[in-house]
Amino acid sequence: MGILIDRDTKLLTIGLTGKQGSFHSLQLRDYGTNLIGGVTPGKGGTVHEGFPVFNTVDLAVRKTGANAALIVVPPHEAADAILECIDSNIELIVTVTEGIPLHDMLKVKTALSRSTSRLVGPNSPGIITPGESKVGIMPGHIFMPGKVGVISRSGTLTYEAVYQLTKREIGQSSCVGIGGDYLIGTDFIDCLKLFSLDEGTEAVVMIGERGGTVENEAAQWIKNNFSKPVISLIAGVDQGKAVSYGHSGAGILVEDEEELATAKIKLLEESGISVAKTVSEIGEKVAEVLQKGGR
Amino acid sequence: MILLEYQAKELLKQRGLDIPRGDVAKSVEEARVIAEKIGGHSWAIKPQLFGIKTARSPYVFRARSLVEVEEFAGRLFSQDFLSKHFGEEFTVLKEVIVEEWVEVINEFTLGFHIDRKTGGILCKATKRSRIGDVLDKELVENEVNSEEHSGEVTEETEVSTDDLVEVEVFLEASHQVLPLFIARKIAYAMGIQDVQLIDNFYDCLNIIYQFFLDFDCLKLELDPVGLAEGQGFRVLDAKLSIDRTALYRQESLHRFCGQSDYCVDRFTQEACAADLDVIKMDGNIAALVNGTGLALATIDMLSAAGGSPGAMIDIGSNTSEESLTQAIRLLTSDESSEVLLVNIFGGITRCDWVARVLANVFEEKAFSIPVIVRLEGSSMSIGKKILIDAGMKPIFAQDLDDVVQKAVSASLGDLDSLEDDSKAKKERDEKVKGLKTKNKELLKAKSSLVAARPKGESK
Repeated sequence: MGILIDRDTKLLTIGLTGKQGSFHSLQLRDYGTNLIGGVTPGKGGTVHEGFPVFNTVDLAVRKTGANAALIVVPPHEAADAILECIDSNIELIVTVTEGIPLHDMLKVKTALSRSTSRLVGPNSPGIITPGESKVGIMPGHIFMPGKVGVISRSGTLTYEAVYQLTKREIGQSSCVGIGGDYLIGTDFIDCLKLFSLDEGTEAVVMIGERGGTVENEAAQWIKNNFSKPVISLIAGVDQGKAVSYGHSGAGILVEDEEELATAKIKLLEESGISVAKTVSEIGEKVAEVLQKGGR
Repeated sequence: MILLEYQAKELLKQRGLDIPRGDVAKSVEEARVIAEKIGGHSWAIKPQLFGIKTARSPYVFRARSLVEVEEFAGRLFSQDFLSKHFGEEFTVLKEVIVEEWVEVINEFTLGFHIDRKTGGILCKATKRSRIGDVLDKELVENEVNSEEHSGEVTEETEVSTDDLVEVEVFLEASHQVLPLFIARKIAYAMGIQDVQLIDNFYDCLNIIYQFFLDFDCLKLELDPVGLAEGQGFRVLDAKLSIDRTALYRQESLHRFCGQSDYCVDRFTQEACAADLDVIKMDGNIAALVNGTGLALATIDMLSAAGGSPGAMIDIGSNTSEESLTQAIRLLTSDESSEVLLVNIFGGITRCDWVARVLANVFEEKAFSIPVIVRLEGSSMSIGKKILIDAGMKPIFAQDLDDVVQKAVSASLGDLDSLEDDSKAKKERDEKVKGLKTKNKELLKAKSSLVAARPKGESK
């Protein structure tokens, strides 16, 4: 049970021989992920840490039958890697890389629109179906198998939320980091649709941030289409006292009313969603909702 | 990265767009010289400032004589005027634009941005509906003039949406050149009927579109584009932001790097220079966390617990060791920092790496503010050991709640209750003292070395 990945997911690491690629590939193997090889142009035919290396995704897919890819290449090469995976009809492409130029992502979005591939990320910690498979960089030891689905825009907040759930012995069906970037592939509603069909999921935790309107659209969709209980958190309520911002700080600084954390919280609550005030309240809220057995 | 108006205009001009003649002045004298050089009898004087929080209304002065050029430039360069109209943080203005005043018969706003929902480029043209209406900036300018230059500038007047004509076109990022219909759609909506003019407009639009693609633009707003009698379309104002993740392939823009961006205070400027993500709040609890979401959540939790969040730096997978070192230096030396909260939930960011850099900075700087640390995830036990061995006597916390509570307590001066035993604080103080003496000696040794070196040899 769970969504997107399971024991049978056959994974390739794109950028296998790099520092991050090596480190996380070994962690994936330790977790039990069915990692069957990797791609690093120029190193095809070699074996790295016991994994076969291929020059192209196309060749890797033909030789191994892989159906998922984890992209951990540097930002300037990442869009090219995603496009290569789309070209080889990889079903699930999880992109961890942070800082991909947006104009590169425009090209990726165009290619995705005429393909059957699904992109998760970029700037995503990945996906995990605890006890079965991990396709990402999250610390595996904090997760435990169970019936709560988690969808999040923020990597570290996902870990926080899951850490609390596991401490209370509330297991997770699948956790998906959809990524914190401005342009992403799979969004909240896409994941909610999958969780609504998954018999192994009884409730969903949805972690958002200020900025953008994806949470607002999800709230509306949940109200009309989703019958399982949802517990949410929106980070970034307190922006009033900020003196200044730099880089991503500017990106998360919002001017539109509807993009404020407070506006999102209001909308979520109006849609019957239980909203935690702080991260540390998530575990408690989920326990409460599960005990009540519904919204 | 945000560019100033004159910088954006310079780039657009290189591409062949018609920009009013003018230049940028650093003083009242320069403003006059530029106006004389341009000639004519009417000039626009505009301040060049990076906005924070929200874009503020443009402050455009229309000078009708060289005396007025000096007067308006002088007013813009005055500290009182700036702080009154732009806020306390804007007390220094370095540059003003002086350019020819352009009389237009039609004007509208043309904006391009990357659209989150559609994953494409959205082009939006906007125009006030009543013909002959003056733009807000002219209202501002007129009011200044009519009040005998009293220095009173009114805020932008609220425009009701009923008065606006707006047209949106979605542009594929894959067009080599724009389809002609896009120019027609926008032009007719903006009240341009003449076929020749529409052709001219199409040429401009194509240039702007290529510009947007070539320079990795996030947002380009031409506010307004003016149609001058017998002169075609002219870009009267331009706001431009560039994707900083693409700067590696935009060498021609590197000369604009290191400008203030959104940074107004020293801390943020230095953090941005080190390529760090930062949120500066006005409190006394400095924080180093990994992930933007965690930074936001930490701020929320500190406030909720009665604490006062200060400088926040958020590190990610792209943060280099140099940047992290600089982050810790900045956080521990910022005047407002009284406590340092470190919360690392390691995934791609490894706890031992953060701990090692933290320990190195402690060796180098011997900062004395208490450090509350929570490490979780990748290599957390090694990380903890590194901090203990460095003699920092960090206060460890179990989880996010705990690290927030302890940081708030420490920031309120209740440190003793947090230390495992009262000895710990003493030991740390002694260690700090020892390190400071050691550093002083090192510094002395270094400076004597420099002094001993014969002239001309130093680099």
